Amino acid sequence: MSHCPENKDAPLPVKSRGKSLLLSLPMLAITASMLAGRGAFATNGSTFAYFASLFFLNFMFYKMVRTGKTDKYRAIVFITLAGAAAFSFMSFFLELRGAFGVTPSEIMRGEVPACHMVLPMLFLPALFSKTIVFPGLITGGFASIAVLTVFWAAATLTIGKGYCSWFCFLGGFEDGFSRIFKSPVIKRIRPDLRLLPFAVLLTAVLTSAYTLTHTYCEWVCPYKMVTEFEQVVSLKLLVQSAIFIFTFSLLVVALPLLTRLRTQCAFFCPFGAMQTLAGKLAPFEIRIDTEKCSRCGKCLTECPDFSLDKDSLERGKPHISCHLCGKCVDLCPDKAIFFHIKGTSLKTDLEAQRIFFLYPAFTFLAGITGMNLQQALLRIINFFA
Amino acid sequence: MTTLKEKIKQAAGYAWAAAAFAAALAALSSHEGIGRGIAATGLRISPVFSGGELARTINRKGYSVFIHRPVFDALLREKKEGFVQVDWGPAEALPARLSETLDLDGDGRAESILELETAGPEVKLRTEDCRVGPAEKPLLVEKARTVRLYQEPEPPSGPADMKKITVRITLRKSCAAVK
Repeated sequence: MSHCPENKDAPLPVKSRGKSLLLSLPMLAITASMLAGRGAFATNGSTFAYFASLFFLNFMFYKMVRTGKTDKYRAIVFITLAGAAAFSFMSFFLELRGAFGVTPSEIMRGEVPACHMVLPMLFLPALFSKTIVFPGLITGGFASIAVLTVFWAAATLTIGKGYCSWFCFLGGFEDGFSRIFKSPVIKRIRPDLRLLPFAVLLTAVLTSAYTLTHTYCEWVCPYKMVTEFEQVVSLKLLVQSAIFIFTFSLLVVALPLLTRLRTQCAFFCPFGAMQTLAGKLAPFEIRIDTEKCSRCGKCLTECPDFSLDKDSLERGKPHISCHLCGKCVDLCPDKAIFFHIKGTSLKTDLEAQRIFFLYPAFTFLAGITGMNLQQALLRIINFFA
Repeated sequence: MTTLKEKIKQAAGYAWAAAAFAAALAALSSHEGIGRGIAATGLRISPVFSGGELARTINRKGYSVFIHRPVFDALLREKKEGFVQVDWGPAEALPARLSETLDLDGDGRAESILELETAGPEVKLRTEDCRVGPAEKPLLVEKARTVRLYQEPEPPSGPADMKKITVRITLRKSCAAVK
């Protein structure tokens, strides 16, 4: 493997301001209409939150288009939205129930806001027993199961596994922590760990079907730390709480810091495993031009999903764990890695294909999860007002 | 030189990407309608959480006792051990002490006596039926706080906003299942 020359970076496909603005206009229209939900202009504070969110998100999109850098600006938005989501969720729950934890009463009434992580566990019981094994609202209300299913299906159809880097804001925490240190402390990782999420998925699906409960969410999910968790009213709930604090500390904070990888996403997440399978329907993928690639190995050390190795450089494709974050596309000094629409040429229109990918991906990132930024800003404004 | 086959593949690729994005935008803009469609398939929240459909209501002076159907639900068949949920409500109208003779399995013969202090966490279950018991601690189920976007069918356990006391009692299919 040759060493990566310092100044070998090919010029980025920088576009003119006019062309970049023109290409950004459709996204402005999409996000403007999607963020203009109920109450967006109800008060001066909500109007400010709307326009501030709209400006920030669309400025980032404009920079993506103009500079040709995808991951650099995606990560800024993704990490910001993760923080905003945690803040707005937790303050919302605190306001709703006067405490962070979900009460037994809410569970019995089926009023727990749902999370997309539970979806893989719902399908088998829904199919065989026509029941939803989650105590949430099927329709209506905040984060209902039906609406999450529609969002998931729409995102899967368009960006596939890209869901994990563009829509699942929970991954933003790991993304943030994995970028703190310049080089990893833990460098050797077993390649077969890539298969672990499938084992977790299978276990979660089977145990949920057997017990008719959402076992992964109840017992393991680390993201309860930043969204919602059950109030500790029994020994069982104390054990469950200890587990999610441990998994969050280990998989979302410590290991991403030490490995510079998104460890929960790459090695544990059952939802991500499901996306790997369901995402095959999507038209977008990452490809590598094996002729252009100088095998410098920069992408191998920087890929946060553990999706690239020597073998993938030879095959011209990353491993199935690839989240389409675009970090390798940004970093490749040979410009040999690119977003690609399946079926199209590997040699032409590569920048057009990246832009084609950015529209749906950014729609999910900004148009839907961007609402969390709006909510977070509004809550901060209301707090100080 | 690009062949016709490659051109067709190229066009199909772009068409697929554009169609998927259009379909996603359409789905996102009409997600509430699609959601209602999903709900109309008859899916319901698992009785493991909801307590099962309401089987019988006993009206007392100022309050009611709601007995749900026994829940033995499993993915394909039924489990040997399940539970029966009993609610008392509205909570504001309940006497300080409740003593109820109940037919939990719905066979037309009362087999259990349940006693509880409405202000306290303890419950006492007396029964000669080996399939019944123990009872979980009573739970005060408060009024619904969720902001509902549109009207949904009433939950099966009575008025949607009723504050009630709920107790779940273990019930087995047969005494042979008792270990």
